[in-house]
Amino acid sequence: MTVSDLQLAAYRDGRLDPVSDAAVEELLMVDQTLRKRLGALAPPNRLDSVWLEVGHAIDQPAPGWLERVAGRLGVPEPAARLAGATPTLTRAWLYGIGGLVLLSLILSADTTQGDQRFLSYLLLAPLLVVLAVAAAYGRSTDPTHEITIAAPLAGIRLLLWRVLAVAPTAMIMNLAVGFLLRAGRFSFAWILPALACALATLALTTTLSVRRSASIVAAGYVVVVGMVAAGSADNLVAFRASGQLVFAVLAAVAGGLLVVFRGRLEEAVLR
Amino acid sequence: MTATAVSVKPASLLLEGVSVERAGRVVLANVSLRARGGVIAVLGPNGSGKTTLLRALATVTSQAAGLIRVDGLDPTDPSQRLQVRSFLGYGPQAMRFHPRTKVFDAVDYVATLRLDLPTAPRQRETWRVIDVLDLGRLAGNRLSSLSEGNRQRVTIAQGLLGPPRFAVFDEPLVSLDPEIRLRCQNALGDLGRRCTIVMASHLVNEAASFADQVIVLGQGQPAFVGTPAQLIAEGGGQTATHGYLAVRGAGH
Repeated sequence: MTVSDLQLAAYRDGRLDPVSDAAVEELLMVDQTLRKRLGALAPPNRLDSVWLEVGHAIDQPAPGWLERVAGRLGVPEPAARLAGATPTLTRAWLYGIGGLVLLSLILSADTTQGDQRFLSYLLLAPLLVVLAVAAAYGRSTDPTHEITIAAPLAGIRLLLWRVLAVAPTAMIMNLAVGFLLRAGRFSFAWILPALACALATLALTTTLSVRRSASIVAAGYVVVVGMVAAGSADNLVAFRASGQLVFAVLAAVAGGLLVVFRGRLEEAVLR
Repeated sequence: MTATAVSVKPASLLLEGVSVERAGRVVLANVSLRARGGVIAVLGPNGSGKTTLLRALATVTSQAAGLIRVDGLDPTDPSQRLQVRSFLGYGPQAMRFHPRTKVFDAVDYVATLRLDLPTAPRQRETWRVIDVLDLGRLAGNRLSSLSEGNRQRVTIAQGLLGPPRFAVFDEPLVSLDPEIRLRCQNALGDLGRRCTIVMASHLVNEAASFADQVIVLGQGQPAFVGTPAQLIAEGGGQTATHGYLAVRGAGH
């Protein structure tokens, strides 16, 4: 087979059909003259750009572990990049959830109390999710905040992407603690309270800073659930069917408020 | 088509009677300016309101009063502010990142925030600005291992992403050695042909050497608004610094 300059140019540009492409490639492996002709055909600027791309591929750092894990879990690449490129954010948050998990395990370890010992676990589990929301955005936790708020992605979209990137870890930790405590169906009883607390935090963020919103919601949740438990013979009453219904309603109301007032989030981040 | 291939037109900038109050004290009053394209250098002593003015233009504070229009858009209106941000580049005075963040990751992080692009073209744009500032060999280095000057280059690089049609840089030339300073001046001057750049600086001669307009802030008032040549003329035709000192003296 002889290869014309036109065919060689088509090979260079990737315009040959797969069969001809493979045939030219096979000849290039054994024919030094053909390799020289191909080299002469390649425009110098194209060669420069190829070398530049090779250099970039070598110099580009590999994504961090959080980005890799998030990618494997199906988190969109930009969301994983936004979460993974701010280690302060994730480290502070990891310390926080580590502390809460440990506290939850210690306080719920006394098996002589039966199911009633799960109150501490159910009180603390939703706070992990609130902590994830609090760590996701804001001047106090995000060192890149000044740059972040000048970007078109600032506001609710970025906040939700970051929550999406960090909240699953909090949920997995909560389920793991429930499993370790052998909490049975109570391993899932924190999910609706956590959803209500997370949405309430986001809704309050339309008016207050993320940190203040999270603090108010967390304190309010612990006080109200603690008082309900103290006033009843069954300290888990807030997590049984009627309590779950209340949390579902609260989540719906908070979600509705968040949708209605989402425009205010833009203003809130400037405060 | 990549972001770099898009032809861009500089955004217009209109300031009328812009004032800034801080803790009940007027730190800037009655700044007016009209520009489309080129570099506008904002000069003045510490506390003269340069950074506050720049933060207002960068849409990150609502402290400034008066009329500000960027390409006809009002940055105080939430929806118009988002439009401004879509073509804005911003290099704050002290850009903070976690020190363990790598150079490429820091710039690509801002690219993710600023550019609505799929991964491959976004990373190409990240590399483009890294190469413009000659940071390629440092791309895998952590910010903590960089000199202050190199960190400043990272700040400038991320502000070139897009490329922007309107850019705000606060003291971009500080901490840079002469060679790198020249490279950054060239990068900003080149960007200024397709972008309106507002830049605060203490380096009067350097800023005047490539700016198209100069604002010198006196005590709460613009002491001078004009071209670098006019500023030099104010100093008896010597240097921009002489002109700066002359108009600052007149402002006292």
